[in-house]
Amino acid sequence: MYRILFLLSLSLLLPLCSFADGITGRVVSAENDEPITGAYLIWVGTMRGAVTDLDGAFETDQPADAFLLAASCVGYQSDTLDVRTASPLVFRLRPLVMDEVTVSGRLVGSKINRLSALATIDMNSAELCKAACCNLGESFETNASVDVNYADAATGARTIQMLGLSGRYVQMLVENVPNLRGLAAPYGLSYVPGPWMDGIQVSKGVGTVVNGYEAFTGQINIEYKKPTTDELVSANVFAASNGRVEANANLALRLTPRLSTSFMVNASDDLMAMDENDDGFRDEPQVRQLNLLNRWHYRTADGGYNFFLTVKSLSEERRGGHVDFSGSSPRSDLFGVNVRSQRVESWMKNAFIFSESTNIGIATGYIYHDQKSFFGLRICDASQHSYNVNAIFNTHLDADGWLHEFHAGLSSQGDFLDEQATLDAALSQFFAPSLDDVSVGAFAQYTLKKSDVLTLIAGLRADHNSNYDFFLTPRLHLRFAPSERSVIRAAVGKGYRTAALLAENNFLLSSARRWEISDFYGQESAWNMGVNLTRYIDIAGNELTLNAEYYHTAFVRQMTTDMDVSPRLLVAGFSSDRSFADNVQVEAKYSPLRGLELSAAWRWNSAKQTLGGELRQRPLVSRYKGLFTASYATPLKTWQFDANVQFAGGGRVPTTEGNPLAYQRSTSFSPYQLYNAQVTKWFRNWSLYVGCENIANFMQSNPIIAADDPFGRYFDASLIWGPLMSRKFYFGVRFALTRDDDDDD
Amino acid sequence: MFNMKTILNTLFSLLLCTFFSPSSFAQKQDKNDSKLTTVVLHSEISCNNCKQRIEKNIPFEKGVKDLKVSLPDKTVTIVFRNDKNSSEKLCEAVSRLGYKSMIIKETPKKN
Repeated sequence: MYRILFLLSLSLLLPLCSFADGITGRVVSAENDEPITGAYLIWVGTMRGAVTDLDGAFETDQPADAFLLAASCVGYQSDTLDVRTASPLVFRLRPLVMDEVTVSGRLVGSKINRLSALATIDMNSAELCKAACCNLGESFETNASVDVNYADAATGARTIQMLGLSGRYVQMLVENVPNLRGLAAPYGLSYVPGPWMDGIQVSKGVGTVVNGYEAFTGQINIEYKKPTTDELVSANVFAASNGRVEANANLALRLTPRLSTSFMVNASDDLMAMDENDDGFRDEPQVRQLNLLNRWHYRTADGGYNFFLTVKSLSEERRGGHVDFSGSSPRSDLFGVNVRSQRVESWMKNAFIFSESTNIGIATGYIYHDQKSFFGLRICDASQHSYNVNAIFNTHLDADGWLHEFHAGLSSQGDFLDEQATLDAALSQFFAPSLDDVSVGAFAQYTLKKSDVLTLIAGLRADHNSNYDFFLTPRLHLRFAPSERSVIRAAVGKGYRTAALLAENNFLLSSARRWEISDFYGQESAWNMGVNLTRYIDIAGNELTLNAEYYHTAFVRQMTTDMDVSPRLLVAGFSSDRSFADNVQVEAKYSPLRGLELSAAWRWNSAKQTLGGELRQRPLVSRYKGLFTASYATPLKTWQFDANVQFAGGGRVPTTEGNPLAYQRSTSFSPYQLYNAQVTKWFRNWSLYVGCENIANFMQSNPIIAADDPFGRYFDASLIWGPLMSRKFYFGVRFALTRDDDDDD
Repeated sequence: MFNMKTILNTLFSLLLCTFFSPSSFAQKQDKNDSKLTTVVLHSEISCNNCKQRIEKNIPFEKGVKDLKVSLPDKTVTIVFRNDKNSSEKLCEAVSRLGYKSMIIKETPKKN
């Protein structure tokens, strides 16, 4: 009750200086008697006072035994009056004569999506605290645009889908440098620890040409916590009922006002082999991981030069397969899965700021990834080196209210991959492909902006690839706001990528299917176009956001992994046959009460591709997805309650006809729902959270075909469309110590 | 026979129940609302970061029942129990975070 009264009283209090029985007066300039707005008045010897309004007037309650009132304002000499003698109470402040005014300020870090020309969703650290978010793959639970699915029942590989298509068509960036490519495609979402992330930006549709020619269906950029963060030390521990434990520690040091560094360490393990469906196989692999990161930031005194260097290492082992299997080499009596990855990443960014309108940015990245894996008796080893260089020149000019912005630059991307796969003991299925793929390109982008009403971004890049010669990438984005409360966005563009069939589909080895591969590497390309409408409506003083969008992706050439020919065959290669995806999504967000946020989203997917000469629905993709979320925080934000329900529509399953009856599965799957909830209690320096995932305990039944005969010809763990892990309770503790010095200088 | 998973699930359910029990999170209704005071501070806050820092720290000062930070008005409005804290102490608490503050309004709250 008192909270409602508080709100009412607050609304009455808003004209802050209107006191009933106080002392009144004015503050004016001694030079011309003009009123001084925002001048401070303070009763000498107390903490009480007032601030002048637009007319320079103030009103304040007089504390007992206080008679001297002091007035001050930036740019004026302060003055003190005795209220017993001064009547009327008028302060005449004399201007200070200053040689130089130093203005210090702080940049507001968060981008306003409302103004972005790309359909972008910013997920900040508060959003990431709504669920366990142990890693990047678990961070999209509350996001309606990104789906996270299991790829197979043996490796625990999680893949994302955007616009009804595989996550490989989403460009993954870490601090705007391409990352998670090739070998990192199947398991990369687990390589980014949740507590390291400062935020994630998800943009739908083609990206701009500045970050390269990839990004067909979207772009996901991950920002790690910066060395300049306010958190001096932060740590967290996490444990779940499936035996997963995790510990994390971050340390950020400001060594000098210009130089900062940070260290992060993250370790996790699965202590138990879970087999809820009693098929003898682990429901999810046990993943042991160690992540280390060190980063540096330097900037010159005038801010004209900024330097970032980050080095990250990862060591991961995934142990799956039969619950009794252990060890790190294949066995012929028990089916084991083991994927070991060693990975080092480094990226460096230099920014030269010449003036407010002109700058040059140079970003470079290097990745080494070594992976050794086996799936039963199938062995697959690979190593990859990748580099990326991107230099961007940026300038803008303002003319008659129109802003013209120019980006131009050069970039190069290289991927060097060596792979070896032995799919049968007789070596009839032995492959050792390798790839040297180097692209060098130039790009230019022009942005035209008219206040908040119109933004047009037109970009073109020309690249030369060592394997695929020259190609052009055009991209166009438009944002138009016909009114303050409506925004229309449209985008169209082409995308390309070099696909590595084996590396990106490594998890498909967890079946006895014979592989028929026509090409191991190839270039995929597609056109993507989309339109997005956003409308803001005021309801009872709160804003309702409505969003509707349509996207169409049409492939020119794409990688295919056809599992429909026979349940014992995988036909893989590259095809220019017809393939497309249509996607419609509607979304509403509203906050009916202080602290309560509700959202609802629904998306229909229609993704078809030509398989065996026939245009068919893509297998294992839900026809629709829905998401309802509710989040409530108490007025002091000391408690937070989050819950969501995800609806997944049915879809198609590749045929298992021809298998013995016990090893056949339905050719379709039914809709299902997933419920998740979490409670968080915040304390000054730490917080505690408890939650439950998959509350209704829904799991795909019998996900592994021929689990009783894993070395036989019918074994298949790759036909996965639903959750594999049962209901899971978890709890975690986060701790953060904020630094005392607040200066960013 | 109980397996490890059953035991862990039970433990986590118990933990969840304890967490959800009304006494542990329900904000106790103050029988005597006359003990509540609303103080409005004018604070030198300029950015969202300042707002977040105040919202993260001030709820944990003694007796604080409600808090609102207005960036455009540069005000921090706190409802607190006056038998547990005072306007001056809360003003000092905000100042200690690095945002110089002064009391511009104080209202004992009446029902």
